[in-house]
Amino acid sequence: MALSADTPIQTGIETDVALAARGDASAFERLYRTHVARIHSLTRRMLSSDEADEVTQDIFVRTWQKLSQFRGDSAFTTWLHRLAVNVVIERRRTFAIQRERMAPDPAVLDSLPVAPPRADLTVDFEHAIGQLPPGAREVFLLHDVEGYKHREIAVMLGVATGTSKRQLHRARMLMRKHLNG
Amino acid sequence: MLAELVFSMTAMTTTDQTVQVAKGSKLDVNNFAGDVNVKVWDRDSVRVEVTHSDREAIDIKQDEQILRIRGRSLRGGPPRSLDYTITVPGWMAINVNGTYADVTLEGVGGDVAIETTRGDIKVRGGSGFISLKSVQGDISLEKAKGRVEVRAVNEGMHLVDINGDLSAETTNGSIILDRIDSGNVDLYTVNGNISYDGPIKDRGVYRLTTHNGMIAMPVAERVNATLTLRTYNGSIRSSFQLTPPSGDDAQKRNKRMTVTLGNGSAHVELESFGGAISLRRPGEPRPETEQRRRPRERVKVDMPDIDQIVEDALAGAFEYAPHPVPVPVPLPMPMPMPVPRPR
Amino acid sequence: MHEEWTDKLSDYLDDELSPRERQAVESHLRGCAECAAVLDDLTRVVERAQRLDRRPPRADLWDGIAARIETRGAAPRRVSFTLPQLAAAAVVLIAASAGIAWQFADRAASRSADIARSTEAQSRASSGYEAPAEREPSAERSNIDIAHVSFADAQYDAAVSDFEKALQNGRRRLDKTTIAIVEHNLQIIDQAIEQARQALETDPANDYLSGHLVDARRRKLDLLRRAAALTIESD
Repeated sequence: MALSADTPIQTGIETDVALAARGDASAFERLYRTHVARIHSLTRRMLSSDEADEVTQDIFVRTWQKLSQFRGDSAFTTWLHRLAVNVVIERRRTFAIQRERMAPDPAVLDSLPVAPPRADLTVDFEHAIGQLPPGAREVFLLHDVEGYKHREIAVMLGVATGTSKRQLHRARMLMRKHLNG
Repeated sequence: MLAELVFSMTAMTTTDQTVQVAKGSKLDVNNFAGDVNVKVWDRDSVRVEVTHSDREAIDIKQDEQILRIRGRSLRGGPPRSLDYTITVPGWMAINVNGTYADVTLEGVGGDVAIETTRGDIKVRGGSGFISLKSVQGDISLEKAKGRVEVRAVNEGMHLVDINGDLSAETTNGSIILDRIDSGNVDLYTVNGNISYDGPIKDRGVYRLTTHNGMIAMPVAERVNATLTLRTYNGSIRSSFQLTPPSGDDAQKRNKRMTVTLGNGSAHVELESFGGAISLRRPGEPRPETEQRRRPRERVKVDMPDIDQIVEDALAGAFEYAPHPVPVPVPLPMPMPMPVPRPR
Repeated sequence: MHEEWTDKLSDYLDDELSPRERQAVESHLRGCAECAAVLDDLTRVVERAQRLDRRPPRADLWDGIAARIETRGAAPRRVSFTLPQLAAAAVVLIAASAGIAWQFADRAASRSADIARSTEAQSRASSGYEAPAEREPSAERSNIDIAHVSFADAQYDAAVSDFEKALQNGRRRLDKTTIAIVEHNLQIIDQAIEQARQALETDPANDYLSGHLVDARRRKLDLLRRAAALTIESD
């Protein structure tokens, strides 16, 4: 008999996942409330603030539809997160052409004047992430913010591990300039 | 019951009518106040027996596949208290609505839906969708199978020999279950105990929640379940050994723990804010149900003055509530609940 | 800046280099303050990235999700029910006559809706009689408009207060004892809500307590709904 100290969040989640898989909408609402901040932050950073709400909703709707396929061999949070990344990447691909057209030229970021130090550093840092070239931004967010490994990122994005590493380095070098601003 | 008093003052009639019903028909009874007793026989027909005054008529109408029974006052307003005895075929689905109606079903075999505001509900049998609702009144259900939903407010409930999905809720009362065979159980009370009796099935979901009361459940030795036990002011007890991993915080262990048994496929969530969570082996004594059998302090509620209501109705006062009930019913404060304290 | 070295710094930081490359980078770093400074910056970028907070959306997105997952069956998003149908389905309601439109999805409601749906299908298939949700309304037909209520936000308080109003308006239709029972039980639930709230204040990270509070609040709404429905059924 294995007895473990209660890890509150996980236990609640497991039960709610089981309930939600059986069609319990209020259990699913609890899952939503527990995870929405992380998922919304991911979509907001990977896409844009405008799209984040809609895509977050899509992600949870798809989660609900796919819950029956969740086998429980990974943690639900990991599974959900992976599903979210897939939805986001799919979305980025679908709208890639429009986005490339609208995206600022990477050179613009390099030429941005370094802002004087301010109190709300995080906002500027976040803003700077949004200004990264799309490929660098994806890898930076997935690796440094979300904690995926290059191997995983390579599979998700369909690129070589070396490409993932190069994009990450490029992103970090660009982000250096915003450490103090 | 009360109807007799009224009957003694007026001329009495007995309605005793038997109607043929097609297979698959459903019985629908609406009785404002009085008893509704339903029993079964071996014929495809329904017999309706009711004694009433000459001021009322009993309408028995059959359309499509529904047999509707209504009492009607010939002078307007709701009818007096009526006591029905209805005999139905075993396959018939039963639907009873009432306000001050006591409903007893014996041996029925189809869907059951009963809703009364203040009255007891006692059902033996039922198969399919079984829904029992009362605000004040004992609810008991025996030998039912299918999907069972029970809703009470100011009363406990006792469910025995249930086979199928089970959802039961009350606010002020205990939920006592005997011999349940279910893989989907959801029980909730605010002020009362929950005592479960039945196996934990693989991949089942069992959710037992109370705010103030004890939760007791049997856990067999070889079972595949993840038990999540949580309390705030209570404690977790078990008649068998739950070996904690070393270095675990003893204080916390006594309030919240997750235990994986076998492959952990069933989810069992037991939560009591203020009471104990008690695990036992099947067959071990259940002290919490003994408690229930002792006369417990109940919120004393008198039946309403039905005669008064009837007189109002006869006088054309259709809104019966404004009439003062002679003595305001004193309600005791809720059972004192422990004050929360930081852990 | 020595790009042949700085290009390796991210991999160095992530421990992606072979032991030999690693040693080479380390020996260069010992002698090159510029590259060491870049490494220091990159380390800070990574730290900052890991510290980024997760913010929930400004607007509550749950309603939109609930709407889409509820349409999964045949049930449309906004439906009119009669009171008995609602009673049968245990969905929260308020009379349109009271000028309020609410809906709620809780575990009981969703479950009983499922039950009602599947039972409907079953009973149709097996015996052909009407499903419970379609039974003849025993009370006056009221069109009920349904919207969504979540248990964690201000909408909940609004729904409670609307039900309280509806109950207040209709209370003369209920006898005093029934009112007393309902009020007594609301008191019990309020006490439970208050205790859970106090406990949550001392232990805000306790997810059991927040779930417990939601359950108690749901129960209160359910009882208010039931009582408000009684005032209408007694017409």
